[in-house]
Amino acid sequence: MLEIRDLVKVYPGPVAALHGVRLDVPRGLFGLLGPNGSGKSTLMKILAGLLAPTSGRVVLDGVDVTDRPQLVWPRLGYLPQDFGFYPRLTGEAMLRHLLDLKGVGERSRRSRIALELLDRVNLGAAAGRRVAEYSGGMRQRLGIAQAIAGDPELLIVDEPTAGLDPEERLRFHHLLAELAETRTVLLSTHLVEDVAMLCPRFAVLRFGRLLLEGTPQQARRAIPGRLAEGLVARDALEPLRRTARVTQHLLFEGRHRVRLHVPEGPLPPEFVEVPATLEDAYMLLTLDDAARTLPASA
Amino acid sequence: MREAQFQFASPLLWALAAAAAFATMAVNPAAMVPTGQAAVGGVAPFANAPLALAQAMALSGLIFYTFPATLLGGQAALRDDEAGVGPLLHATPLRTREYVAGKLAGVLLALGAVAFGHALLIACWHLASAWLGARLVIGPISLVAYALPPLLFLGPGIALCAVVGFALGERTRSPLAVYAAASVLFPLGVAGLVPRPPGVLDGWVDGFFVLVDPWGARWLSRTVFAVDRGAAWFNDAAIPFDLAFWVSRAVMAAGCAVIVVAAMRHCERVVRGRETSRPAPAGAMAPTEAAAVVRRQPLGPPATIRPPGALEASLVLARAELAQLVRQPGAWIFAAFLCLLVLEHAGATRGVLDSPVRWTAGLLATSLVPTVTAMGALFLLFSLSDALDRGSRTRAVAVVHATAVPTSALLLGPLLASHVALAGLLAGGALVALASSTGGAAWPLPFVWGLLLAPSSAAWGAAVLLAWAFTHDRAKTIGIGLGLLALTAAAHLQDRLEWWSNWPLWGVLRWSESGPALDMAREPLLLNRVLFTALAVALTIIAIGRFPRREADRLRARPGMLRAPGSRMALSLAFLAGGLLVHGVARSTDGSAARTRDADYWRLNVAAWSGAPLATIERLDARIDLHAPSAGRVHGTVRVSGRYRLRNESPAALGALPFTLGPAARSVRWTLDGASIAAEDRAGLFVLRPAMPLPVDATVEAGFDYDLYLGDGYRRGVEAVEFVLPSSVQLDTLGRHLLPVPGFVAGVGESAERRHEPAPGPSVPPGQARAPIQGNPRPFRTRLEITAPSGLSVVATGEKTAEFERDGRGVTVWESGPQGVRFVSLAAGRWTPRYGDGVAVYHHPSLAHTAAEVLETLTSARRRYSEWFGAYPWSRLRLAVMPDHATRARSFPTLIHFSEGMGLFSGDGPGAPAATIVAVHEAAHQWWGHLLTPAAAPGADVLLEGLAHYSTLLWLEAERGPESRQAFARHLEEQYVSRRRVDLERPLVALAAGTDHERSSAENRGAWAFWMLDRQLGRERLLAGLRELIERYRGGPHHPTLEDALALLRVRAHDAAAFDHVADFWFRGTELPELELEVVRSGAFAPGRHDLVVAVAGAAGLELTLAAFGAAGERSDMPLQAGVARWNLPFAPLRVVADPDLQLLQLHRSRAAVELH
Repeated sequence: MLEIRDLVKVYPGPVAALHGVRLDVPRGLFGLLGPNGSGKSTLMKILAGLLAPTSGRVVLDGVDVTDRPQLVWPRLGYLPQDFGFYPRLTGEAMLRHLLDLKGVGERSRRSRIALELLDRVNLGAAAGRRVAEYSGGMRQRLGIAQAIAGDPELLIVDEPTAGLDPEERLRFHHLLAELAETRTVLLSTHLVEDVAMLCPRFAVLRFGRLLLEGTPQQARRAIPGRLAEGLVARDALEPLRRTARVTQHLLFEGRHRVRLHVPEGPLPPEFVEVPATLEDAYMLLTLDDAARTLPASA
Repeated sequence: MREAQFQFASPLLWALAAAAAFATMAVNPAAMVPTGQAAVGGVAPFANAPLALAQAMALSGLIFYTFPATLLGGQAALRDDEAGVGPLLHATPLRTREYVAGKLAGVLLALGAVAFGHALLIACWHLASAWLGARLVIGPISLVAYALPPLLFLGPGIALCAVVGFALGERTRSPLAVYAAASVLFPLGVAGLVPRPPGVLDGWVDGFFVLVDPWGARWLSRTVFAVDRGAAWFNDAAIPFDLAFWVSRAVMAAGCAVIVVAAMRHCERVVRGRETSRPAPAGAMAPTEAAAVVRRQPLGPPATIRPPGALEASLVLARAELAQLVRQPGAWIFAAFLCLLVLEHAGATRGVLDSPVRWTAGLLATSLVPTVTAMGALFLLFSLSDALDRGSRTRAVAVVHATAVPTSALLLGPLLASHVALAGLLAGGALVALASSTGGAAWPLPFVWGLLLAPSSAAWGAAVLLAWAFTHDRAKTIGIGLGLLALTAAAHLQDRLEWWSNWPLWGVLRWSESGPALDMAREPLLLNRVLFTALAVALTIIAIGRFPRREADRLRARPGMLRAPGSRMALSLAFLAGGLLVHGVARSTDGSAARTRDADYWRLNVAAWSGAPLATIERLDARIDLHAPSAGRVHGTVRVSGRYRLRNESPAALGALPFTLGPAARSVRWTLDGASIAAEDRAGLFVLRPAMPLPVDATVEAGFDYDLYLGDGYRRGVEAVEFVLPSSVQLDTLGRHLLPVPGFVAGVGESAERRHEPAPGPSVPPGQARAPIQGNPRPFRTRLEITAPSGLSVVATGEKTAEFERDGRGVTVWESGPQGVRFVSLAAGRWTPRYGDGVAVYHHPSLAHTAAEVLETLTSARRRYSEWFGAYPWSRLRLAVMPDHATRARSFPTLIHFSEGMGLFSGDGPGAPAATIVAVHEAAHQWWGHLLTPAAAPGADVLLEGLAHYSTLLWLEAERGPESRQAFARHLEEQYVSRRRVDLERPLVALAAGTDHERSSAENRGAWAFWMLDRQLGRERLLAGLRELIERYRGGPHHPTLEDALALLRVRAHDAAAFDHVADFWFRGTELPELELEVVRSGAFAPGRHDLVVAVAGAAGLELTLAAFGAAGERSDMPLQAGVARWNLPFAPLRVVADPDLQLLQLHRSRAAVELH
């Protein structure tokens, strides 16, 4: 169990990145959802022990690790949002080097473990190539390999599927789900779909504040009223936005497919009622928060 | 323009601008012109003379611009790659050649702006100085004089450095390669300035260096500054551009163009994909293909995690860093350049008399310490900052820092890797050094470069870590490091490095093959190493504590720097060692306490006792006990007791007897005629006042008793002409430590501000006593009883009359005999003696080979000099080979102190082995110095050093043949010409010999002047005159001046007018023949007969012979008459040479020849 208590982070400026975040992350997969700049990466860095908070506490399995990150690191697998490798080393050498640093397994077995991990992330055939020659997706997979190396008790992955093709993304989802069976996995993403697919529990962060913590089902149920979906012409889109709360808007066969929140009353013409999704819940939440915070900030 | 904006925003560029501005304000360009005298009046060179400005620009370019220009060029190539914007830029319509050209244009624009500002600032500064009447001497203002040097000297250098940096960065994409290029270009430029003795560099090699010197400094030094022509000439002369100069500029331009084109082509290949970094391994499949066949594996059993400890993690990180490091070309550039420097040092360094050095491993190891530490520091700075930055650059820190690696390992790993790589570099250099050495044990190399310098590299590495931990920026770290190195170099050049600040051990290690290693300075050396080891530990701990692995919160208080465990203890140890060193330096014989005492000595006594009448020493009896050093003290103490019998030879009774004793003497007690007396201590000048003034011609015995702590404290420099060490002792009465010196000693306590021009020669009527240049007016009898630890052999002035043991210690008694001496010296060591006919050489067994040669030389010199200058009055002349604590040989009556650096490790000098020439010269001082002591008057050094060199010329001709004499004469001529200062030169009869150029005049022109007299008078007449000179003045108290000697020799001249012409020209004038040859007529006038007429200008009416040489080695001599030489030759002349046998000293011997084609 990872307990986050009243975490505040203020950058020089001053810019408050986190406003007293309080969160319990249980064993299993936990999603942290939020738009860009919401403070997710700041929170991830603090949890990974790479950034000191201004105040607040981080407790891992009952041990306060706020100022003792060295207690976290041996138990941590971390895939940051922005990372890199030594370009002149091969993928295998790089991973082997990281295994050495983490102390994973017996020294004599590390090369074998490295190759197994590379196979797990589908990089076995590219093990001997220099990292400089890897594509963005391959580097991301190498990052995933190092994060899961050593079977860490706490796995923090920050935007892990960025740059992965759909097939690899699916593979990774399976892998995360499998890993989450026996440990805490904290998945930070702005993709609601990933959270909906993977996380039994999640939280939403916006402007450094925790807007929601719960299960996807709870989030969907919490939506008052109904959700409606319909196709509209381009000219009708903007008037619709002004009068209704649009939760999703996609282009479908050249036309605009729009989902609306209808708190009460009849559905708009040519719209049909649809079940609420997590994305609807997330969008409504952020719209509500924006409505609350914008006048105040203005 | 974007690149130029980047460059203008670079702190490095602004640092360069600041340095250039500082140099403009602080350094007078005229000071870079080796001529004139502006210190106290005199003719001064103009600060804005064209040659001064050219020299200033060339040297400023080398010193200030080399590093920044190379680094800025390299950074321009690396920046886009590191920022990851390269692909974006290359995806635009921008062509690669435009990209490269634009980048370089930006760099050159920025550097050009600084150079332009620099030149403008110099001009403004000079104008302001002229208006404000500052100390700069400003000549006529000329725009061309300010404009040309930046264009022709600074510009090409800047362009070449920037282009080389850019090309290397572009090709390697490695910062270390760029740094290595800068590190190579700077010493290469400096090496180009160092004047090399003839023979070290062939003419074409020298010419090649001129061609490739981007700053033009070597061309200037060879073409303009090789010979001093006086400030007036320098002020008016334009820069004498010649073909070599324009060719060198063309070579620079062509070199830059080739490098730029190569960079463009390489960039094109890389960017457009025609060159890949490395092909994919055969059989490797594309990831998507592989995905189809890789079986999804179940998650296996969890692997155990055992986080590595600090040591293990450090090793892991070091291994990875090392793998990265050895793949970088920069590391190999450093390695190759270090080996090249070692080779250059071993091959080009010249010992005494410009002789090649026969290196032992120890000599090479210690003499290369500055080179090794400077290159090692640069390598550590660049490789370590690059390694520390690599994580941020590649963004691998985001992953690595979240692992369980101890923070200490994140710093210690790269530190260890850099040190291992450095060790590899040094091992390569050591192997080259070993291959360059002539023999001996190899262990000094690893001992000095490994064990002794390890704390230096550790402290330097820790300083780099600390700079990184605070700045977390590669450029800032490098800037701080270069600044520290520059400060260290500046302190070293100004002789301000103390034992507590000398972290790279520059200038304090002297090797000896005649005794234990480094025994002159073991204690301060040990403390110095402890200090920097402790400092290294402390700085490393602090750096680890400040390392921003976890980004700190700025709103929260950070723990103090010294909170980390161990840092306080290490710092305490460093402070303790540093404190002991500061205290030790302060109390040494050249420490602050001694300097203050000496200053007090001068202040209290210069007016009261300088020139005061003194009693003459008639006899000396002294007991000197060389104590065995105690365990805690490196230098031993010496107990001295004895008495002088003094006679009052002055015209009046003496109420006081003053004696000077150095600050090393403690517990001083005095007696007069056996009764204790309280002497007045005037800061080292002890005044004994007898109850009744000492009547004229009466005698008194003054006794003294004291302990001599010569080795107390830690001397700043390790060079010492007097020392008391466990393995050897060297003491003499030219100093003021061994025995009390009667009267006030001039020179003690003088500072640069108090130093003054010497007074003209004393106006003493003929027949009256003239004081000797130093020492007692008359020779006096001596008896020295010297006690030394067993195993230590002792030699001293005089003849050994007794030898016995007392309390397990050896005692020897040395007596001068009735002929007496003016000076006393002693030497002790663990020697093997060699005896010849009336001579002996005492040397360490390892120097047996050279010692045999020296013994033979000494035997011959004694015999020859006895024939030429009069019989040697003592039965044995001894030469003691001493450790090289001061590279010097000094001659005392019957005993020569000969440090092993004076040619014992040298090869051939000019005309003979260097050791031979030095031994012959020092043997000559037995006559010219001890049998004849010149008067304390101008020109005295000509009678000492000039005659000693003249004697050497005679000996070489007699023993080794005319070619040897000519080779040595050529060496003397080159020394004189290169050190001559036209505006300051005084005639030999007026020389004070207080400066380098005056000493050179006395030695070199003096020797040649006597050679001219030799030719004018004839050898036998001159030698007879010299014998008479010695006989007349040997017993004192009258001592001759140079004019006395000339007057005595003139009597023997068969043509007094011709003698006067020669004496006036060479002794009373400063003119120097500068011969210009012109072939007036040359051609065959009959079969096999050739007519040749050559006109010679600049002979100044002196006798001169010319020689014509044919193809088959034919030679025909012809005396110069009325400026013309005419031949009727039986062969076709190919070459005409003026003064082919080196009988005439001249300015430009190389020009005194013409080739006929």
